[in-house]
Amino acid sequence: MFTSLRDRIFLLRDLTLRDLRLRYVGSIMGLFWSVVHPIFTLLLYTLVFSQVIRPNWSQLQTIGSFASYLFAGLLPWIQFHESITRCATVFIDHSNLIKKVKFPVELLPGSMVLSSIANQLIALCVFLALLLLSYHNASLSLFWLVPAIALQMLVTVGAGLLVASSNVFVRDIHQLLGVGLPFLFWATPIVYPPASVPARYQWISAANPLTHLVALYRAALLGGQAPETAALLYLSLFCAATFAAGWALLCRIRGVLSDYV
Amino acid sequence: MNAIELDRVTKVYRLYQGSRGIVKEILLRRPYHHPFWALKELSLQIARGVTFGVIGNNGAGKSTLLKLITGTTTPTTGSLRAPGRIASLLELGTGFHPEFTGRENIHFTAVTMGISPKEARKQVEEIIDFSELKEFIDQPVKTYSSGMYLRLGFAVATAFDPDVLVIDEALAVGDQSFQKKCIDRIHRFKEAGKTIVFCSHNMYQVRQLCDQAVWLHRGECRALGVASEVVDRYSDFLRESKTEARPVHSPRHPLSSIESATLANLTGQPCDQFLTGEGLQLRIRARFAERFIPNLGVAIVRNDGVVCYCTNTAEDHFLLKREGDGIYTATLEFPRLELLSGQYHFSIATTDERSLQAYAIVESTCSFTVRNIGSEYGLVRLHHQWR
Repeated sequence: MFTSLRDRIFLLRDLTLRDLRLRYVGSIMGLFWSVVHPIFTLLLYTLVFSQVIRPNWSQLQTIGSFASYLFAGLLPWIQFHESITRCATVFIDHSNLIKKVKFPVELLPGSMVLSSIANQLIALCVFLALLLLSYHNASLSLFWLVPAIALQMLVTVGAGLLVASSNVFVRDIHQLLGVGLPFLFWATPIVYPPASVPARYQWISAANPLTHLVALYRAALLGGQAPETAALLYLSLFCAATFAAGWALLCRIRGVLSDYV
Repeated sequence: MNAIELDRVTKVYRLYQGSRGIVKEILLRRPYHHPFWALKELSLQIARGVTFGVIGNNGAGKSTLLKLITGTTTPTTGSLRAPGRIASLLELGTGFHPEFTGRENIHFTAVTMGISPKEARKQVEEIIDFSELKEFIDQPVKTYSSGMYLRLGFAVATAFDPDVLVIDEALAVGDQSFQKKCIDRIHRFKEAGKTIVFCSHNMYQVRQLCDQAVWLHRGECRALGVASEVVDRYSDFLRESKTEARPVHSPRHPLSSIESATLANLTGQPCDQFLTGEGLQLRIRARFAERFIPNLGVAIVRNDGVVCYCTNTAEDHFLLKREGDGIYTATLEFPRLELLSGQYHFSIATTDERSLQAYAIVESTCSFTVRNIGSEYGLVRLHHQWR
């Protein structure tokens, strides 16, 4: 059973499709919600941060370019936030499956991440269409999306495995995320420009890998300068380390997982 | 060739008092749990094609053993080898998602079992046919009755040519005609040389279905081997524990006493193990005061207190043999003992001339074990014929 990679891929695919369908099961607009949701979030943030609170966006003149800037940061954040939150309870939610059949359980958090990435890609396509129609011509910088999405998946799966595994034993992890994730959101320059962080807090911003991920997205979607090599290296190492830690933790608890869910 | 091999498998569950214990244990590197030994050093081999029974009281470790074989949990120490595709009929249908249709759930369950979509598609129609859910198969399973749920669960679990089938008590599900289909299918698996692991409290079923069995008691193996023998030993144990062990008392009655009682087979060799249909002799020496007409009463009692048979010398018009000095002897012979498997003992009494009043009584003496071959079950073999 599950000796071949193919079987795993089939299961991962089915788990992901199942999750995507489950999100919208019974709703009239179905998958359309995955477009509506990020666009409304974007509209809301754009409205608040261009009309009400006005950080010092020196280089961004129009509301349109501000919206693009905001979106490039919000997009990976929404996916990250959603994946991590859902991963926290994924083993407990699927306890009937884990207790009943022997299967590669890492595919459960994996499918959560994949389904939210799929959602993100839909929103991204809509955004790109708008972007190409209104402002830019297709730019080579879009190729930065490939490493950006790859690294994002790596870090999300890693963090997802960490919270999924630990939450089985200590259920406070799920609650802790509710407190910790907003903190991470505000520690990442998403709704404010990185430059506006006071000098003595710059190190927080620099240490936060999400800062660099968001920067990579901005480089890809908005053109401009390519990300720094050092930042990219740091981001890659962090993502790989997170994945390794998540995988190691899962391997430790795999044998007894079904005894605790 | 073995389908399943366990080598000194131990399973310890850690019982924590909430998450706090776990956190303390991780931080302070000291145990903060009570270990619960669900299985202790269990070694057994199940050969391919064998139907293997798992019996024992509640909490004996039966379901832990099944979970280990299914692979949903792993041994704490020791090793377990179970190559081959294992189909579990435990908790049928629990993997289904209520929002999805029967057909979608068939596909998904197949994929979680490691079956390729291609192979799954080949079996779908057969599964739908077997489950008799043709007109409901494209409805969400949340609309199904619990019987329909189980039918679909059974059909899917057994559809993909498993090498090992793990079954518990709920051998058959649904209405009577569907139960028949389930049992037929399980028999076909048995005939096709598949390995079946079967856990049940129904000793008759285990005797009927299983070739070999293990009796687990508090996580330890009490008996392992041929199913009928293991079942008999477990049944003995069950009957034993139902009745409190009564003290064997042999009061010295002033007028009479039982000096000795010994068991033997028909050739006169001392013996306490018999097969159903074999002969048994009980030799009794008793002392009587001279003014008595000596009589003896004998009862065969099973270890749960059921009196199987009583007789006495007055009833049978038998005169005890006098050996002088108030000592009398008698040998009670059963040329064909028609008791079935179980543990039995004799109660012997010296009685008055009409065998109404008992004087000296010896209870629970001359214990012996009876075993029967074949699937007869109960207390005694009754002579019968089929027409």
